[in-house]
Amino acid sequence: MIVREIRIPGIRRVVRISWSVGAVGREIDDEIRFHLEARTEELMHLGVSERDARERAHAEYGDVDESRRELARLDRRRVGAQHREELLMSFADDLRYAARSLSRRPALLLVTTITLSLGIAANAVMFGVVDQLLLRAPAHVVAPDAVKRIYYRDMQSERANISPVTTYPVLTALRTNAPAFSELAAYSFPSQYSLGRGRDAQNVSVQLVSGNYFHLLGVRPLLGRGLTEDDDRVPDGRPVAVVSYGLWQQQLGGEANAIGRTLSLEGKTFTVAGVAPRGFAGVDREKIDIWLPISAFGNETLGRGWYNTTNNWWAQIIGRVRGGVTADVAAAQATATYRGLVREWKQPFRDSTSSIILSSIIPTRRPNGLSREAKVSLWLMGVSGIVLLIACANVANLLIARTLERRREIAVRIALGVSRGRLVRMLLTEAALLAFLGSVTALGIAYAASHVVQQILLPNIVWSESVLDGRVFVFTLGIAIVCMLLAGVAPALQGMSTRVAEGLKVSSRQVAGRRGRLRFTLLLAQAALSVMLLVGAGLTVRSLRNVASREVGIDRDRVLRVTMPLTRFGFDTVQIEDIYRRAVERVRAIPGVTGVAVARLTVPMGSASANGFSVPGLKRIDLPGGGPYNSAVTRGFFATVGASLVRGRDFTAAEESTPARVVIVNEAIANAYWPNESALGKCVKYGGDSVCSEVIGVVRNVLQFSVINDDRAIVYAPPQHPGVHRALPGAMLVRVAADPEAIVPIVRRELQTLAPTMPFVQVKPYSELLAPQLQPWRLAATMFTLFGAIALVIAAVGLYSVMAYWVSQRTQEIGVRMALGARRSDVVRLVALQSSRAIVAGLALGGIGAFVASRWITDMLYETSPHDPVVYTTAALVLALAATVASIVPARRSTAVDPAQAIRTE
Amino acid sequence: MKTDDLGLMIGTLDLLVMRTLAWGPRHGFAIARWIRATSDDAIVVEDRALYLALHRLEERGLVESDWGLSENNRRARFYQLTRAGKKQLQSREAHWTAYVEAMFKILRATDSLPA
Repeated sequence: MIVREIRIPGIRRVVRISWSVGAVGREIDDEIRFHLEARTEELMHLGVSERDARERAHAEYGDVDESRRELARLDRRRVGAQHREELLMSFADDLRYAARSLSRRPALLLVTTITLSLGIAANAVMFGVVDQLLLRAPAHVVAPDAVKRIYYRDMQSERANISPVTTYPVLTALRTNAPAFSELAAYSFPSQYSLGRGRDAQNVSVQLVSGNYFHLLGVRPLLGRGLTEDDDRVPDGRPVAVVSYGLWQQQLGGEANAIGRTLSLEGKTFTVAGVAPRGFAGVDREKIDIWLPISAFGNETLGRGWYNTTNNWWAQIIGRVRGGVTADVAAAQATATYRGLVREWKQPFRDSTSSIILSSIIPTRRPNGLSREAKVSLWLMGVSGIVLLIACANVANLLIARTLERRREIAVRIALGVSRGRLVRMLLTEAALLAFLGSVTALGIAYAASHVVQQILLPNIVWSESVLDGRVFVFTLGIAIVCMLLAGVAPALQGMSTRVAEGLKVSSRQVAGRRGRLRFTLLLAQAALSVMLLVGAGLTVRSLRNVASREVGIDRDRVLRVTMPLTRFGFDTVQIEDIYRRAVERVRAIPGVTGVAVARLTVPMGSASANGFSVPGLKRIDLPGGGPYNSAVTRGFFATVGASLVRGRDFTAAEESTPARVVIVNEAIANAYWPNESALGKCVKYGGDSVCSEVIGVVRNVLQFSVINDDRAIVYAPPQHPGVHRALPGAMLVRVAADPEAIVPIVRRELQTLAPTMPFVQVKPYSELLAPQLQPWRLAATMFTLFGAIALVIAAVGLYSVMAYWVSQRTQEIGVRMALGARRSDVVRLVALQSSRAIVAGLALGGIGAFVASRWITDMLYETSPHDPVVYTTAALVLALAATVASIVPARRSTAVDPAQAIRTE
Repeated sequence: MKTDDLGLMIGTLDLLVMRTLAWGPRHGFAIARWIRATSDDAIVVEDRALYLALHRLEERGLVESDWGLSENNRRARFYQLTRAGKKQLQSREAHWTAYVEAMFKILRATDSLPA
């Protein structure tokens, strides 16, 4: 006889053998024993004595031990294969089952997929950004680990100063004295130069590099050749250029015949030698259009003798460390060389105990701390992790509710013999399917969002490729799995703990208190994390506002800076003065222009010059930011930029046109030198002048380079002041009455035709010049707000679904209450009370969490207390509001219950 | 039959076992007994070899086994042919019969070979 096996999908065969490999041995023993006993009995029936029968049975059987071994080997193989097959089959079953049962609940499917995909997308985007900013070497660099950037740590200065900028002779010395490097190259910061002249002049970003720069990095040009050492013979190199892929496409038609064509840069002609590969943006990922040999343009842009002067600091050096040499050895050689040089120079302010640090060429991983962008991105990655946590908590909550609804079904399955392990797998499969759907959608969202983040929020970085790539894909897969575990384990365990009798007996209505607690905790956690994100969003938005609206001495939206690189184009002093005179006239005549001024020596967001300042009778004071810097400005400069005079007056027309010895100092100087008295009427010596100049005014600090922490000391003289010493105009400043965007092209057109050979005239509103500095703040505020909003929506949806579930479970109770005379408002209150405990607890916990955690984001804040009560209150109110809406809706719906119907249901 | 001859007998033994199971589920002992009785002890199979054949057939999916009760109400492992096993048995039987008939023809033939 045999019991036929019964197959029910999802249910283990009711009768079967050797499920586990361990049972195999036991079953074989049983089988052999049965055989031997049966044969013994048979023989005994035939009259053989028991002892003989037993012996004969054994003899007929053969070697029992050997048999046991060979059978076990066979069976184990069979059971293993069966096991695998069943796993696969059950997985397919589970998948089919999950797909079917989820498709019956489209609302649940939609909410969980959206929730998960938002959480995963946030993480994918932030990982992509952080990966490129912090983890990845610049594109097209071969063996980037061996390439090191050289930093100098100044030991003497108060703030142990670490800088990558040095002077050219350091490169020459390192090349001869530091054999640990197989190659060393220098490059300049990119500068804006004008390409072409007159009407067609354009602005391009140019970087001067050593001839071996491309060779050192291993960058292969797309077309033509890279620069060579031959191109870069000091002091006069060959006028050749390597152009970027972008410039090649836009200016040179993107064709092969671009090689050999000429470019007119600042009046000098260069021949195109090669095109850089697409996406190559130097080692700093800045926008660069043209690379030139240093010696081909050094005399014009760095000054004559750039290769042996020791006080012209512009070069950054990278070196490739020889194979088999450690970075420490290379650093030691470089340090020794550098110290030797500094001792040779005998410059009192240079520190001969400085040491050289070799650092990664990934620009954000500099030894003097991460860049602000990188820091903010790292932070945001953490924040996106919190969003994911909230999303997972929410999905877990939804799935628990679903498991509870299905208690009866689960109990039936257990009663039918479905193992609990199998049941857990079934429920986990559902979570996995959701995580999969979520991550597919997430990749779509991330693809769209990463472009926005790249182009709008981090525009200063040249992205070599899309933020989304294989690494992000793998990462997304990883977080999808984490998600699945986070969201799936709790409901799965819960499903496993379903007691059969209980599940079958009670209607699916009643919910055990313990499960209620878990859901309560998940709700609370979502609320708390959301509050933290909202607080973070509030703080960063406040900081952005504080930075953006900070009083910097310039009305950023009303003032344009106009620069014209006339000297490099061979204009002489008389011509330049003439061009500026005519420029002022022309611009003043444009409607909408309300003020024009010219600044020399020191120009906001331009040049800074400190060529002498002293106060007779007072000792020189060391001021933060150096200086005092000397500026020379026309009358009306302060009114034009929007810096108010605190005391005294502006220059008069007479003082402007004659060598009058009057100056205006800024508050930084006035407060440092005359803290307790008025600066007006004091005597100061300006520039190289040996005679007293009278202080006639004190002006608000005007920013020099940086939107924050930039209160440099500046002293202003009229343009004819003897101390100005024939300094040429540095920039023209234009005040406009309204929208600067509209007037910029008009101003440019007027000026570009001042002379037929005019170089590119750059006209930029200060708001635009300062925009890059606002980017990290904007990035933080935007992303934090976005993440906060996502968290809030997810939490609200979560709360809504929990409340809706709660109401559906209590239809009967509500019906009874209403039948007994409860009013609608009583019922709404009853429902709202349920959620309010979790929300209030979440608010409290989130507030405390934010209070503690915000200490770590003080770095990202500006003039904003991390414990700003307004922000905390607002965050709490926003969450409370969302929570109220999310629980009122199901509460109101509950009052639609028909009491008679509800009571009858049971 | 000695263990040394097992290799030679593998195909044959498989066929015998499957033939036995063609009448219905049997446990190993019943098969051994049937072979002993039917062949009048002419074919003596070591029981170990029989079980090896059974388990091997099960591993190949030709038979399946389950625990049931023997005639004496003892727990015994029953084997039965699967669908694949039945098919296999048919084709092997046909094969064997053809082979044996061919052998007989040759063994009983009169000398007609050209000298």
